[in-house]
Amino acid sequence: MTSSSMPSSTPAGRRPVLIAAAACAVAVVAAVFVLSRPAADAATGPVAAAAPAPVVQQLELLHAEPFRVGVAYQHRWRADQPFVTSGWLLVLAGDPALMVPRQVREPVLQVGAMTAERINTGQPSGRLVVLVPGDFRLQDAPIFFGSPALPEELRQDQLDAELATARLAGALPPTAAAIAKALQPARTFADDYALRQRAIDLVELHSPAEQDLIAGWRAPLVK
Amino acid sequence: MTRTLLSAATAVCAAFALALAVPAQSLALDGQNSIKKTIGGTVAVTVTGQPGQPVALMLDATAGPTSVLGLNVPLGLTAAFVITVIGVVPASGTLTYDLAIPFREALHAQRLYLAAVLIDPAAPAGLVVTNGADLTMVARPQLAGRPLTTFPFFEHVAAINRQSPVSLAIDPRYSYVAGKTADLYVVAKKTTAQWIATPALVDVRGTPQTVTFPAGATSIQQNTFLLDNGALLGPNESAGSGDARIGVGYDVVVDFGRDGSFDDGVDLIDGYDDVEAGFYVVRDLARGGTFTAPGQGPYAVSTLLYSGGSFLGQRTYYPTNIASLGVLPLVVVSHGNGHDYQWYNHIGYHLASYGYVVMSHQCDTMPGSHTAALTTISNTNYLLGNLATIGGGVLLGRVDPNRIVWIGHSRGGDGVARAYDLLFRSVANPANFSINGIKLVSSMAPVDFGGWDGSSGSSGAAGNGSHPHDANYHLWVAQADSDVNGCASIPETFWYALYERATRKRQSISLYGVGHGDLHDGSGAPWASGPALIGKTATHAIMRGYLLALVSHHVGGDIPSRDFLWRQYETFRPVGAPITAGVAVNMTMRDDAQAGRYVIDDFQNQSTTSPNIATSGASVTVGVQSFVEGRADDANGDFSNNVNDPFNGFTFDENTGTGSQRSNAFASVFGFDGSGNFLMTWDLTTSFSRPNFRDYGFLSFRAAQASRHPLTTAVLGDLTFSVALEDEQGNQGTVNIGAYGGGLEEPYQRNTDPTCGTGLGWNSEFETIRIRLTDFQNDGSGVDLSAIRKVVFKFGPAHGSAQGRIGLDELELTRK
Repeated sequence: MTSSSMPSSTPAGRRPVLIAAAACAVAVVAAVFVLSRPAADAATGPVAAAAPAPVVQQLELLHAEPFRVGVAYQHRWRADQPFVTSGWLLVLAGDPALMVPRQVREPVLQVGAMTAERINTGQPSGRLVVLVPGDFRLQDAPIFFGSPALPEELRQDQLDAELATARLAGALPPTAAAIAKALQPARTFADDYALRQRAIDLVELHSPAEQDLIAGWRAPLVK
Repeated sequence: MTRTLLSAATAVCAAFALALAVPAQSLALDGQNSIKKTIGGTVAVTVTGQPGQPVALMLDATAGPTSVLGLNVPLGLTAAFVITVIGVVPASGTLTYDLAIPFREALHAQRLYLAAVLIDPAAPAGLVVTNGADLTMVARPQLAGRPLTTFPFFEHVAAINRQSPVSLAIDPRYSYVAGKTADLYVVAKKTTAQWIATPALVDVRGTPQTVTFPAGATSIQQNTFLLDNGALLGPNESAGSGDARIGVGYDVVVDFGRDGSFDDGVDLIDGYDDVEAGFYVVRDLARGGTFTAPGQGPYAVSTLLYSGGSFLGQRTYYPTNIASLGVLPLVVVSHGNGHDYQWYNHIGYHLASYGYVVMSHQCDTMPGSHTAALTTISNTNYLLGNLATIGGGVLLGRVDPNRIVWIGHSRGGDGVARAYDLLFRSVANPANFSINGIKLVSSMAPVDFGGWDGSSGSSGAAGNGSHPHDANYHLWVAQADSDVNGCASIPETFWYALYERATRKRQSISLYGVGHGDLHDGSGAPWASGPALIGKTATHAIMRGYLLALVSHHVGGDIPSRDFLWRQYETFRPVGAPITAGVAVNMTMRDDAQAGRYVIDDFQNQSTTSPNIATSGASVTVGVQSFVEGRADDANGDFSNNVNDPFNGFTFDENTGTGSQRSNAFASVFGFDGSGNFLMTWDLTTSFSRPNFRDYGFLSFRAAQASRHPLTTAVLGDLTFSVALEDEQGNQGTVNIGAYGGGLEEPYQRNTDPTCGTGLGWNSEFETIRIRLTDFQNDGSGVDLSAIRKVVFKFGPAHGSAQGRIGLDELELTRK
């Protein structure tokens, strides 16, 4: 998450510069992903092939889109609520029964050591669209449901512990092949509202039954 | 210096009666020579004279004048003559004396004549007598209501549903009526000033009815007369009528003079008040605008769907003719996790059709309820700060930031309480509204993630408690909720935690057979488990009526709405609320301290360590079985009956008093096994500040059947018992709580999803029972409300249900 945090006091006047820099950075990151794919395959392929069936609940990566936003937004899915300027927009697939929204504490979806912000409920499609802050490597980040909790209460040390537990239980990151298949060109958005509109497009594509959610997010913006 | 003159016929100085009149001395009652005053009131008697002059007040039944030994006294000097010394004229030259009129119903229409006599050495006889003055005593009993089949045989109420009969009744203790023939009038509501200016009686029924009150009546039943059989008009319920009133007020007059004019001091009236009418004919509160019929209510409803950005999506409902309606209250709806802000049409259309602006918003619930709270605040602030642009400015100048209601569901229901906590602690300081504008916080099936002060959770509770503090607070409970399920295993899902923390006025409405998802109108599972599920249609029919009553009461101070918040559902509910199989509704209501309640015992303070001393200091005699006081908390993780868990099923607190989920809710539990009759007695002679029951309207308490206890399961059904008031003379008035309909509902017979121990029956559900204090006086009980010594709860076959185990709490006197 080294490049994802941005001070909340970032002067508005510097935003164009930051946006341009961010766009460049996304292009570089995307290029690195593409260039490194064979090496990653070599590194992770045999492990993946030999791995036992994970006991943790993992989700399949369907779509991976690096993003940057021109105006930092707060990621409220952890206690420190960091400001975010970049990350991953992912589409994940899994058992919809694991995604049923509850009012009580639910298993928290993590991508590596970071909480994933769920955009939709995944009902009944089993497809989740999520935002994950940070410029990390997907091939390092198992995607799994951790212990039931309220994301807003979680600290980094707890997320690290959940990740460690998941790894011990056999959680694996997506394979390079899966990443390559899912990877999309990076995009830059003016702000998180625009980013979320993109996320809603993906919800419509992958979980079209969630019409109320889609319509709700597409409500006309007050000018 | 207040005394009761009628009982003070001592210290008579015979020489006073021989006084000579001297013009410098005078007497006035409330500044006048002739007044009317309600019984139980106080008259300001002023006597002018020379400083240092001793003064005595004389009272008689006739005016005189009477000449005694050549003296002219403005009294009849009858056998009723009374004289008493009231003081000495001070340096100012004016002596003021507060004359208390006893509360004796028989005093109605009686006139008393007064004069003062002063010692004046300079006068020929050493005495001077003032002018005379007269006082007419007036009773203002409630008259309108409905008959009951058992004692107290009549219930005086404020609200009568339209097309329902309304009757008049007056107890024989108002002896003035005995043997008299009178004309009964039902009149359109007038203010006091209007009654004074225009005493002419115009009966809305066309003609008054002539009745004769029997001489020698011994029961209020003999003095009960049907006024109307449902023909009286309530508000206009035609679609688009523009009539958004909850009820139409009427005053009732008993015209003894039969002259078509209200004669104060002779005739009786119910409604001689600037605000409150004698009674109200109330509309069908459940009928209003809906998604499929947005024009069905008093106002047609329009909606807006828009967004101010991330988590600022809003759907706003408002009366289409808002431009002509002035500034309207705002109702904000915060949805739950996995829900959607477009799923509250049943709230939005209904309330908007009665003149509210309702805004339902995107609520950031998935991280938790703290983030939900932040979006409740940000969305309220956004709406109020962008009225000029939202909907092209249609709402500009039409939304009142000082009359806001927050309603939240599940995580959003926790969120609205936590949002109030953020305002209360000045953590959040929104630009466009303040905490003073929040008139009501209402949670539908909330979780309790913030706990008492936000110290729960691993670190992110952020000191943000699920605590309504001094907000008026309301709670909806869905008894078949299989998500926020209410089992004793997880305090975060205890239904009443937030409610118990609220310190101001609070109400709850609990619905049997209703699931978590039934409270919204969107897609998704009902999250309902248990017998006799009633589904969304019936649930919303109940909700609509009570929501309207709730907001009307809190935002508009509406009087008839209040009746809906505590009267037993079995006998009084919104016209359109269902009574189909499975429907059961339990309600609690507690007034705030500002309303002037007197707590006899709420088991909170020293009473927990000394069961024989009540909160008020009253002495408690425990004559019931297995009596225990303590935290109203199921001490283990399930609802299985357990002799070591006396508060089994009570999920109102957590058991240590130090945990993050605490609510500090104490109560008592006890049983009666049918082997005889059992009493619980509070003797008020030892109370710290002994109340005069005459100053209050109701005896109020909450009680619950203890879930899964053998004494509960032995006979499933409403449980009843009796309550008595006993005065200093030993007179008792006794009322069975079942007289008004209903009783204590049996616990919802559920043990599924999740199972919560063994046996059947979910939580132990408190209901508030209120008994009008004057009801204890009916039919010649003789009990004197100004001298109540004991409150006695009576259990067993002679007093109601033969057996049972109950929780009891919040025994208090309330004004209304």
